[in-house]
Amino acid sequence: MVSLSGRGGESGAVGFARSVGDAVWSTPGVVGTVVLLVGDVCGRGLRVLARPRASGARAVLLRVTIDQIYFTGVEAVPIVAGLATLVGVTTIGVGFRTLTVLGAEGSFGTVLDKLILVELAPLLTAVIVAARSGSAVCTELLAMRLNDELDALAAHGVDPWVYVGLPRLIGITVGTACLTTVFALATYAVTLVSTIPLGIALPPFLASLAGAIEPQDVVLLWTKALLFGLAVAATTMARGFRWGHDSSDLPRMATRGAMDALITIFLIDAVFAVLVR
Amino acid sequence: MTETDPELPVLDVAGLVDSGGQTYTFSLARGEAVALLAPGGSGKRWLLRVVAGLRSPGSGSVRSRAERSAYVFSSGGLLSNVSVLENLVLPLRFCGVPLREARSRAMDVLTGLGLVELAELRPPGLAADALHLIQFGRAMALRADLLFLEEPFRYLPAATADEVAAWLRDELERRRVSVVLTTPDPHDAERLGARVVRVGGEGGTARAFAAAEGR
Repeated sequence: MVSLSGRGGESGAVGFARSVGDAVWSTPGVVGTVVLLVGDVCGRGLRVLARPRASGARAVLLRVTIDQIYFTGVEAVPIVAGLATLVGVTTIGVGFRTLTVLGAEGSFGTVLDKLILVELAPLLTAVIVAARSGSAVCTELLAMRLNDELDALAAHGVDPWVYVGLPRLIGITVGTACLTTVFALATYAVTLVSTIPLGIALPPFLASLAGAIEPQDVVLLWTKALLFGLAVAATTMARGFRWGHDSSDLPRMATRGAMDALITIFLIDAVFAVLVR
Repeated sequence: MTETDPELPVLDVAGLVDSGGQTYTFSLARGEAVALLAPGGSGKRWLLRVVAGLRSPGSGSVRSRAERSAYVFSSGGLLSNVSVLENLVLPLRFCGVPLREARSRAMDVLTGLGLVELAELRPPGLAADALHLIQFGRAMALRADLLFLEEPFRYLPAATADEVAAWLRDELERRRVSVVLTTPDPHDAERLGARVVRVGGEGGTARAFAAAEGR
């Protein structure tokens, strides 16, 4: 029989409450780790790039960074565009009809702006990046550690935090911003196309959309996207780099890396929701 | 005397203690080889990694005056997502060697080792002896003055092992390269004329070094 008791013979409910409490309690630690890791990686990168005759290192790092941007920001475009299509169809199907019933169809542009541009586009894109690139980076680092690849880099004068870490940090951050833009544009495109079967007059609809988008919302979209990307890269790298050598731990640590990324993303989003009005 | 004085030891190891209580203190002159000798599971690999600066010493100190060092791992140790050639070129690029020269130097080494047909392949799937030789190739291309070798002849066929040993002896004499190797076999130490440091004694274990490192 599966035991529901937690540690020290706690009941299932107490054990569950404790694990939730532990998760909440550990969140500031995760955020602190992210900040320290980003600072550390950037500092190491600057030191390497500032060395004399660093053009070789620069060229290598540029190539690895472009590869990471391609993996995160380009290869995931079909997934993100597909999700954006579904979100767009749902939004116009439910949202526009509900607003019409309430006699507030003129506010649809504002709803779309706040819901898609400010909230869903950065958040859903970041979730996809965490699940795809975040877990990939975490697993890659764990495998590299198991195979002594990180030690091999360090032993031959190549700082692994710079060669592996810096391109992933920049690549995932830039890639997330690109994907978020794709998500927002695809949702708006699907919304426009959907007006035809729904019999919505296009000119007033377009005017409503155009009037609702404010420059600060676009700034917020990219700010969130960049921060979410940075958080995904840093949290998963923290797990990957600071892991030991126990191969039985690999699947659990890879999952934890992705979970850390998701928790950090939602935490940042909550902070934005409270602070930005 | 300055830090680059050729008369100074290239490596000073002082007071490293494993949790089994054995203390390690030794120096390595230029052109000298030291063999960390012990049976399997005695912690010699952990000691070598501490000496190479890949692990922090729990106690004591390690001081290297090498300009450039290279490490041959007993297994793994090559980047699996880039080609064999790129594995050799990467450290050179980070040392500031121009791309054309780095590629030419790496191709020369691979040709010399008879591995040129593997240049564009990735390491996963290659035979263990080829992987081991590629690591030697990386050390050759880098022109390191200090080599750390984990059981250097373990995966090599006898004839290849003899060739590698001859190359290492030549490097020791001609270029005054220094070598620290681990091995369970006293014959490996003899073939390089290496001074022997016995590791772990009766009770030394890999776990002891892991504990000393705070893992």
